Amino acid sequence: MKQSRLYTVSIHSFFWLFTLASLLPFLFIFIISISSESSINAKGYSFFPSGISFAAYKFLFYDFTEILKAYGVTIFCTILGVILCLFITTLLAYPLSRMELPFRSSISFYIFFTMLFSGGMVPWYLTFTNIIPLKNTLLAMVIPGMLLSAFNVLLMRSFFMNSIPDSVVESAAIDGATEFKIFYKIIIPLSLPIIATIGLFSTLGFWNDWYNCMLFIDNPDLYNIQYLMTKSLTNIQFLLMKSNQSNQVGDILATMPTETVRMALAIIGLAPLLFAYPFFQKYYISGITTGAVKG
Amino acid sequence: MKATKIASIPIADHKIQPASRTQRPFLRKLNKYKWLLIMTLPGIIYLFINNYIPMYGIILAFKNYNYVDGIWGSPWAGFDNFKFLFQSPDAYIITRNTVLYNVAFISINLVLSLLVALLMNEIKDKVISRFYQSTFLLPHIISMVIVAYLVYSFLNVENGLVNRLLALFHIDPIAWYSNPDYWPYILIIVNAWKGVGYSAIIYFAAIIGIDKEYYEAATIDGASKWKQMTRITLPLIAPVITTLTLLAVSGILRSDFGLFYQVPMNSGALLPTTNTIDTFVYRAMIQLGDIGMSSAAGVYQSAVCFVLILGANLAVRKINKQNSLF
Amino acid sequence: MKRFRILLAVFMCSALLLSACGSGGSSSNQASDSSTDTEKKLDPYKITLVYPGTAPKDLELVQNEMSKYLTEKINATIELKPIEWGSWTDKTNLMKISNEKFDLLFTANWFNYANDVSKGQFLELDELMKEHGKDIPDILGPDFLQGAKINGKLYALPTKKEFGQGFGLLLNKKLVDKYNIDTSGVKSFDELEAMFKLIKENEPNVIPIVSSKYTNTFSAANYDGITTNLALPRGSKEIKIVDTLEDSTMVDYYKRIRQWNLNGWFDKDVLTSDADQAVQMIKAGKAFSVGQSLKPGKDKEMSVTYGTEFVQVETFEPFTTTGEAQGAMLGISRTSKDPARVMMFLNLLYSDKQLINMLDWGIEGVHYVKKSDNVIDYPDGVTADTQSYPNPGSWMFGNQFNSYLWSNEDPEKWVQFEEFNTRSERSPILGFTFNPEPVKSELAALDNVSKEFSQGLNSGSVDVDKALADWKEKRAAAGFDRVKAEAEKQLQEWLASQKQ
Repeated sequence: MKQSRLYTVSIHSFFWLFTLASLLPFLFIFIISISSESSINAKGYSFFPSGISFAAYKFLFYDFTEILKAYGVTIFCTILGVILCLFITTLLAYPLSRMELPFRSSISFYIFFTMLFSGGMVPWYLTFTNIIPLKNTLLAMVIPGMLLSAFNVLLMRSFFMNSIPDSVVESAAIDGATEFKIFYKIIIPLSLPIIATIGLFSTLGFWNDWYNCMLFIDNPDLYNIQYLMTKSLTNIQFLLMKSNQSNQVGDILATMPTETVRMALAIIGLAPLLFAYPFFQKYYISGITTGAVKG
Repeated sequence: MKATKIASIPIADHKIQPASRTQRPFLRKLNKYKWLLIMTLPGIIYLFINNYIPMYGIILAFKNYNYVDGIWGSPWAGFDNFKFLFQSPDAYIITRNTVLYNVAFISINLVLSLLVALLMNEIKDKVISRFYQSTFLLPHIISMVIVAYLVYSFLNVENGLVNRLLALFHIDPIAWYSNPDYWPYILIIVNAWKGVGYSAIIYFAAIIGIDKEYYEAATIDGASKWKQMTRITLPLIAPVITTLTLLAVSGILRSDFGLFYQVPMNSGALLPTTNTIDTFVYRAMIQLGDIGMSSAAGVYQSAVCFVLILGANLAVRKINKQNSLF
Repeated sequence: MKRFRILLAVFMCSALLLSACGSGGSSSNQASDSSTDTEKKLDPYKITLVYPGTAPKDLELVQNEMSKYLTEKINATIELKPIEWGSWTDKTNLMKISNEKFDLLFTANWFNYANDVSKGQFLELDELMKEHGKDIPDILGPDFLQGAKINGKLYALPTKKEFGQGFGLLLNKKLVDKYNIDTSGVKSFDELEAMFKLIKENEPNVIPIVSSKYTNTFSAANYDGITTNLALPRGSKEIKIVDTLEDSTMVDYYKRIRQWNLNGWFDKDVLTSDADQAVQMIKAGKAFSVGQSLKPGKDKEMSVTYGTEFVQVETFEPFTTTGEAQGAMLGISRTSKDPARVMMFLNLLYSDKQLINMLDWGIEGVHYVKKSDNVIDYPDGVTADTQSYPNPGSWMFGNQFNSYLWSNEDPEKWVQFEEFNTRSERSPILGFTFNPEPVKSELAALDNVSKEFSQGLNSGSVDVDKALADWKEKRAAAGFDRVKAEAEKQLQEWLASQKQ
């Protein structure tokens, strides 16, 4: 198939525009974070600052405990959350892939109905505070609303049905293997791709969560990184208020490059994801496409 | 989220007959599958707590909630909460905002992502195509908090890029965060920026799934690129498009809380154009402590969505039975 | 709820007040006597005290020390739970909704006191006080107790503090000295503007006035607010509710403030910046002034807390409204497991000098040293900047007059307080509280509407005529007339009841 040169060039320029639109905002906040204060006073936020300064990073690293603590919370909740999510999802999806399971259709409907109707935020919040007291615990950023999505269960179930031949299970059963054994000896190893995909989705879900933290956490020691950033966006002094030298705020503020610190914090909050992205983007894309086409 | 296989939840395929005659085989079957059934328990319990108990909690919308008596003890209020909600000007504003935003989001994202997907199919170099895909997807994976930071760097009154650029043309700086008029455009752009990559990849996956023979035949017949796109590609991925769009339409009363809460930085002055049902429910509960009104708005949203989903599904079934959800 | 916001602002500033003190008048022995006989019967209990503020470094240290002391007195321990000002409304609403167990909650008429009472968040205290808080009525006196009641019942105990509010600005002393600014007397708008102009012209890097708090100060000084947009203008001959958006005093003020904004006298974050940020900016030498509610010696108190010098300047004479008695209170939560014990603790908070000073100032020898019986100062080597237990705000707890006086404060402070209290003009409707219940849904809608416009107008960021017109239009749709009618009706009823 021959394509005219003009055609190819215009397609590529279209895509380059798109690429720039996707990437430039990130570059922009990075540049702001390393702009000198005098440059910001003179030129505002600019792609071409008149001076470079790492004062904002020095400032943030000077007392890094708050940020580290918040990262600790995020990492802990993400790891625990992803493990629990995979555990519950896999255990629920596998039996549903077995056509002969008693109550199979009832259970399916039970799961599916949660996609159709919801009780709303208020009763949901009351459930996880009044009936199950999770307020101000790390589990509040793991359990409510985050562990199981009906969509993931259905996705995984269809993977089991399509990719694992019945004969595998049948022959194992004939050999006298128990259901549990079949599950973790045969099914799990065969379904690593789908487990990885759902694991990746849920990792991003936990990593990016600030909503649960906003609703369930009062104690600043338990704030996760996203919520710390939320608070700091409207009030950059929040970072200082929380730190131990609350009364030195005035002095620190006098020397603090306010405008750039905000963006430096965004970069610090974003960095792990940006660094990891090149490594997982491939799986992420294939995850989306399996979800879409095979689902 | 094409759901061909999800479709296989045949409600009527209950093979278990509760008649006494079959009691014993049934028990035997239960026993045989008890481990499989036990495996489903964590998930079933979780959904019960996370989804079904709150469904029961919708009675809150019909109660005059007070702290002392709690959910059960509070006196019934009939439809008072709904009356208050619909008497206030808020009900109209939040419904209008939610619906109009969704209409704009759905149509603009559909056009843009189809365009991207179609053009991407024209790129023969796998490596470059991969590169484009992953950069377009980057905005999708970051949290709304970061998006809010990015938007802030453009719209900050004093230092933001946009106002500085306007200054070059001697236009006075605009107070973006206190003028609601601009926000429909801002939010539509932000939403497209964040979401187009994602749906483009889904459409692209559908496109590359199309049998190459169609195109070869078309090329031999001398069909132009444009003809191939409109006569082959689009019709063949139409089921995916309709399913995705109808699903989105059925969620027309829902909104991305982060987009409407974080990106406008929770600014009160922007409420006329940024308040949606979800942010209203949140604010009524948290800032006003008005449980009744908040629940009523939540129930209103859930009920309408439920009807819309059933309707959407019916529509999909009419068009193409295979693509329906259930 | 306009009046909440007005007072909120005013009190936000005083969050770090040092307190008045001196002749508190009651002895601490009484309380310990009354509790010794019950001591053996009491099981250990932990009292949680929730109040607005930032958690200081030595919170736990002070908490442990207070617990030790309380264990001896009433076999209780204490958990101090400060919640940042910025998220106070959200977080406390969630706490109330989620049935969280806590015992004492700071509240005030500008913090939804009436609303919380109507939803049953606070326990009724009359009986409890009779039984376990015997010292409190004498210490507080009838003015405060009467003023704190709702429908004749007591749901929270007010702090004993000044009975009236002054209005003005806190200024950066360095700049006042540098330009020889006269701060005596009550300043007019022209004098204020001359001051800002001077700063703007001579100090390009200094912001003349930070945050929109002066607007709150202005409306609190000129109106006895009743509910959203409804108030009695100060000094009006007849008792008639006016609509503040129609009242020329307020409208002229909005226009003036708009001009200030256009002159570039405000900070660029004026839509969101609060008093605390303002004080920090003044300290950093980046700003000149901030609107404030005043009382004698306020500038000295702020100087101690923040470690930088302030000067206060009055712009209006002091004024006393119903809000005064309900301006700072502690209520016992319905979720408290042992209200009797909490009342015992409150009794100590009003009567026991040692306890209140521990809460206010921390531990003797660590956080402060005594200069004389009533006067304290920092220990050697500690300054306002390095203190690890800054005052959480004595005006929030118990009996402020029992709190120690700081060594740089005027020893005559108490006399000045009395003078201040007499000088303060009483509102003709002092004692009237608006009951929001009959129009609560209208008020909720009005509150949403006001959220949209008030910040812009208060900070002069929007065109006044347009914003006022839009506000009035939306307000009408939200049922403003019904609220106005209700307020007038309630006020007439109250007036009638006063005549009898």
